[in-house]
Amino acid sequence: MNTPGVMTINDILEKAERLPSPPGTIMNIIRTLEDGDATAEQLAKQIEADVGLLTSVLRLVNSSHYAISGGVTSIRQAIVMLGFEAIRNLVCINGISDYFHRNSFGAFNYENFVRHSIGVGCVAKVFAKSVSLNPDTAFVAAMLHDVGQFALAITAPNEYRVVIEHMKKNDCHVVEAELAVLGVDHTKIGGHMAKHWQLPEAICDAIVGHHQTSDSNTDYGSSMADLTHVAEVFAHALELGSSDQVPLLSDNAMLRLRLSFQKVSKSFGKIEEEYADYAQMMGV
Amino acid sequence: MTIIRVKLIPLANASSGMVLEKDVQNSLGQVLLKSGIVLSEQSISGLMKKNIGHISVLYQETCSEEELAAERIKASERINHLFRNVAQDGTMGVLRQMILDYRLEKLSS
Repeated sequence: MNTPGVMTINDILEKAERLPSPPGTIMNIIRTLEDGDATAEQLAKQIEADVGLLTSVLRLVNSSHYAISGGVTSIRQAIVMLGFEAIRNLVCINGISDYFHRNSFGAFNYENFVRHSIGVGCVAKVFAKSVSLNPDTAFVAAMLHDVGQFALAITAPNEYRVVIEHMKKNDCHVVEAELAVLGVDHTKIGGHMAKHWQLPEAICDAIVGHHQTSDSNTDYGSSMADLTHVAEVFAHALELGSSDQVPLLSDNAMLRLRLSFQKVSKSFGKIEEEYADYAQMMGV
Repeated sequence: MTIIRVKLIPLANASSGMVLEKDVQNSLGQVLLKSGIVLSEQSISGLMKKNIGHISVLYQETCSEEELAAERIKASERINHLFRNVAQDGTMGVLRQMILDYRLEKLSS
């Protein structure tokens, strides 16, 4: 659509580019997810240099979720108690939730958005382990997979309300509604932002390639894109977060991941428990 | 009839006589109480001191066969709604059945 007064795709991309990114410390920590040389010492220094971040990490590790008797008083102690990966993951997930929270205005519903992202994250984390992908990257990729929807709702709130109305009226998938109303969908906007923010390649792939169709041969050449797609379908099917319909599952994505229904069906209980825990920790 | 349900509850809502469905572990994976144990006031206050947030318990609920059947119908209607826009056969059909089985298993007597 290119009627006067309506934003063009370029307008949206330009505005999305000008949105603030998550804080530098969080972005730098996200960039270490796929870096085998990242050390606990570097992580401790990064967190200690940011008082706000330090406080929120200590608050989370002292929450009932971790149940550490006696409590934790320093970030180094937290890393020793819970492990480097667990603390890094917590910092990323909390940092991203917090970023969406602080920027929630316009047509953006923060709680529904973060609940859905956490839901996809919990499925992705559990499935990642059975397909030998990095579960921490998978969770962070899931937290950011719909960043394009966030950008659309913030930069073009009026247009995005029309998208939601179109989706309800036609009982269609959000991607269809976005393409019909705006001529662009959130995977493209999200991919543009991910590159602009210099996110790791696997996370960019997940943002661009998480919507796939069952019969097409869409192959983004990325296991993280396939995993995020599969995780999103299961998160909708299990109603983790708000869900109204289950999108199509790509057989090809399942095949490429060598993931079978038989393999995943036993993990539903575990996924639901993780979801309840994370949602409670993030306060959504 | 009586059915056994599993419920994740905040520790603050726990009461003596409840049966643990899962081991209670702290964040380091140490088992504080084993599954199957009947909770007492003493064990609950012990968990409170260790800052445990939620526990998974088994509890009995008296539920008529009709009520249970109604819940099963409600669950399958919800699945029909969620899967309304996709094919009923093939991969989506299998996924739908798998989710339905998972939901109904929780509601079986």
